[in-house]
Amino acid sequence: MNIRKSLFLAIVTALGCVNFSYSQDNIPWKNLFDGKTLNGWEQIQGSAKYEVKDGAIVGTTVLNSPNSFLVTKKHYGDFILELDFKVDEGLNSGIQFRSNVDKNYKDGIVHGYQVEIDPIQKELYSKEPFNYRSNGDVVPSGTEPRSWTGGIYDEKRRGWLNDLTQNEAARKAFKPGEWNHIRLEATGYRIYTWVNGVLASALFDDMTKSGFIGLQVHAVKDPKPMQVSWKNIKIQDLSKNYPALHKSEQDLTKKKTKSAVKTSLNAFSFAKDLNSGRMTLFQLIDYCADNGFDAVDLTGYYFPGYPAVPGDEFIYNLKKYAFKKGIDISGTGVRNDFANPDPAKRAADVKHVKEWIEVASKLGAPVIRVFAGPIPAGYENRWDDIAKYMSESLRECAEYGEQHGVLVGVQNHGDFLKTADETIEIVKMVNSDWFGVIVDTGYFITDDPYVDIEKIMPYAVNFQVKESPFGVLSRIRIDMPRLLRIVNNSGYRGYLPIETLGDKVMKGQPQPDFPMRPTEPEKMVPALLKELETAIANEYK
Amino acid sequence: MKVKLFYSVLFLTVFLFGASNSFGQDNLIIKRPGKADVKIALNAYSFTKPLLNYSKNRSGEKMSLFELIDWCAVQGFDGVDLTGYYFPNYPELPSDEFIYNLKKYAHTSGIIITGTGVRNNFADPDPANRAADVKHVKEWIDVAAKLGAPVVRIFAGPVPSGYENKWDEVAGYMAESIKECADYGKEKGILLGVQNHGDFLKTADETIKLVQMVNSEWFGVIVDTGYFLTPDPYVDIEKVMPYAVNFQLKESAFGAASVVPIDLERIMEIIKRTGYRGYLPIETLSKLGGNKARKQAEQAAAAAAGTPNTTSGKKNQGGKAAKEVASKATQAATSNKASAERSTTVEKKSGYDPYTAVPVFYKKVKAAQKAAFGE
Repeated sequence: MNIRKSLFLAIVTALGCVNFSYSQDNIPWKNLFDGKTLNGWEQIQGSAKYEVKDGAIVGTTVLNSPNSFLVTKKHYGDFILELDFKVDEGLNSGIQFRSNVDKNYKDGIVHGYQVEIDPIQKELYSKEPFNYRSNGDVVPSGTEPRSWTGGIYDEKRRGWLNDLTQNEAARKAFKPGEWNHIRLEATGYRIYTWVNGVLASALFDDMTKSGFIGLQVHAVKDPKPMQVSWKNIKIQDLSKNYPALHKSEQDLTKKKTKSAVKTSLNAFSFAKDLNSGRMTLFQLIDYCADNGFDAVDLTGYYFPGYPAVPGDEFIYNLKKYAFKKGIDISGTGVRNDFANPDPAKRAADVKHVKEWIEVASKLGAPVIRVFAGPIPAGYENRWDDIAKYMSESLRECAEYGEQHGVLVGVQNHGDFLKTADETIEIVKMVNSDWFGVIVDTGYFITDDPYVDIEKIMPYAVNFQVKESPFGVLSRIRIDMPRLLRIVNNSGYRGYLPIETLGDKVMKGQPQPDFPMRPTEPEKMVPALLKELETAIANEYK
Repeated sequence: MKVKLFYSVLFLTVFLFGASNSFGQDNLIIKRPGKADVKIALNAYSFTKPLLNYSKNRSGEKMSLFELIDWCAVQGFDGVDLTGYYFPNYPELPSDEFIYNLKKYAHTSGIIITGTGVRNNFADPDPANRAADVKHVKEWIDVAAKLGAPVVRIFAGPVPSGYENKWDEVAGYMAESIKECADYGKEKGILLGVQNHGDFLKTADETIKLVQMVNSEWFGVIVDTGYFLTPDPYVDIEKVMPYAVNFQLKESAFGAASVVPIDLERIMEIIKRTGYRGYLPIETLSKLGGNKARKQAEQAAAAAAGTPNTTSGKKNQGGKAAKEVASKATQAATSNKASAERSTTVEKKSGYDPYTAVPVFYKKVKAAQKAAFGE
């Protein structure tokens, strides 16, 4: 059988069977504009006129005014904003977010991120990246109308952060003279915009974490009044202090422990590049060294020929390569399904795990990550039955691990293992010093995963730190300082490998009513590492 | 077809790595991506007395290897170098169970095992003795593989009497023995590193010459910052860096007997300049380890005193060479001062206490690391 094909089937099977109930964040939308009044808003700069007409906020230009801003009284950090706007041809406008005034910065001028509204088509630009003036503005040249609605501009600060020179689809998405729909996601350092459903900007930036949302009427030289209108302005507030995310009380007072952590990168973050051959495991090690990781987690799938066992020469060269680059190998992992009721299938997977325990031993990987597996059809209410045969398989693996000096860790993967309690029960059933838990911070399917993470810490032998505690499609970012406090308080000493994931709708799950973000590990990984390193430095200083 | 493609990619990768062997000896120079970076480890030897008391069941203060790992964790070390001597019944081999429990204990304590090491003497002219030591190193390579220690540290050995002027002859048979070990290391995925130990290997040039004679990608240098017996050991340290696979960072660059503290800022600068990425195990020593230390101090002083002879011969070469000679002479002069200092500071055996010496030195190293590399 074609290896690629079987690999593909294995992936589809693995993903398809996951009972993943947290595909979307159930955060209610809140209207920022009631359709009738400007309650909740205030004009803090300029003399352009803002009024409510026909269920929309209408801004009208006034000659000799600087840029005008009508802003929310409330500040927002992580959020998703949607609105419709219509703008006269010839008027530049924009939607400020995470913006601020500070009397110590340029005399208190409004500054910060802006989703550009850019209907002016007079100036022509090339499709190539531009020359920028010192204020961040672009020097016009070329043959293309600008039309950068949905781009991101840093008002009165750094100028263009994400122009649309390289995004023709977005340039064409704007409809002149009509209502246009904008979606803005600002979650942590990940900032995305869509114009009428077309992805316009994908910006990674963390200069300002919070601020008001504001509607801009640009200064004009033309005495003829021009207008821009906004309506259906709604927001999902994803800030970490959103009450729904803190259902349980947790004592986060810093304890005195001898905890210590090191960073690592899970190979899965570059799954696409590793699978396609664009990146080798050696290059992944280089990447880790270049980016300042302490270690790398070299998952089995990315070894040539997987699931076949690699040759000693390959393993040893990889090991030596990592050592000489100052990169520890923090672990490895395999594909397996011990929830499968068929004893022959489980036996085959036990054999596979054992083979890879030997690989781990040769590689110098201290831990091997295994899965529990998805709940088989017809076994929905038979947790104990599955746990029994699963723990026997796991125990067999752990015993083999004991004979080869390799720890076996099961990952809570939102599959058969959804909660800390379930995971701990399995650990107790397996009952081996050589068996523990790979803490997946993004796959406890519970209301408050931090509580589960805290509970599981005494059994932790390795980690997978994800961007969101609520799974692959969630926009709610991990509270990294909180995670680090939990880790530190537990006394954990070891690696904290990070893993970035691409937005992906699991098979069998409904298509969500929001767009997918592009998967860009080359941006996501360094940003998440920086977030982790900052949290480590603060927690362990 | 696709399977074939897969394997050809694999073979190509392996081939490319293997092929670099044939491009002269540049292959022995370790290429390192990214910025220089170090993780700080502790060499078990610092606790040699309590560790030996434990493993040999002697009286006095005892420390097991597990307790050493605890100590490292509490102090905040990244790793530990578990020298073979401190395993129970060394040089007999420890049981798998013992090795694996130690490995697991280190992992769950967040302590990396940065290496291990053995006693051996490859300078011995007796082929039977060398063969026995090769066997011992091979056995310990197996231990290292099981332990998850990436490197085994070996010695060259002392110059045998009667062989004082036969460096090349000794190097010849020594390289053969080491090569045999390195080949075995390759089979088991374990790097071998020779420590410049002020014995047969006194200088960077000698050490590099040996590395080139062995000519294996599985063989490199354990940089002992306290055992280059040259006027300016920092020059030798920098020279040997491209071959460094591990370290022993000592409190003085001039040997155990010297009270001249090592210039950690300079060491960190060398590490940064040469792009070393890896472990930096530290090792504190009893100020006077008996005859050995005294002998070493004498050797160091002799080496320093002898330096002008090695440069004076070149004096009549003009231009650039003369400049080099002049700069070397200055270095030698500075170091002569230092060596004068160190030769007068061979102290009486002082109460060496690793429980205080290690944290003091560790704190200095951490501060230097922080100053050089940031957080």
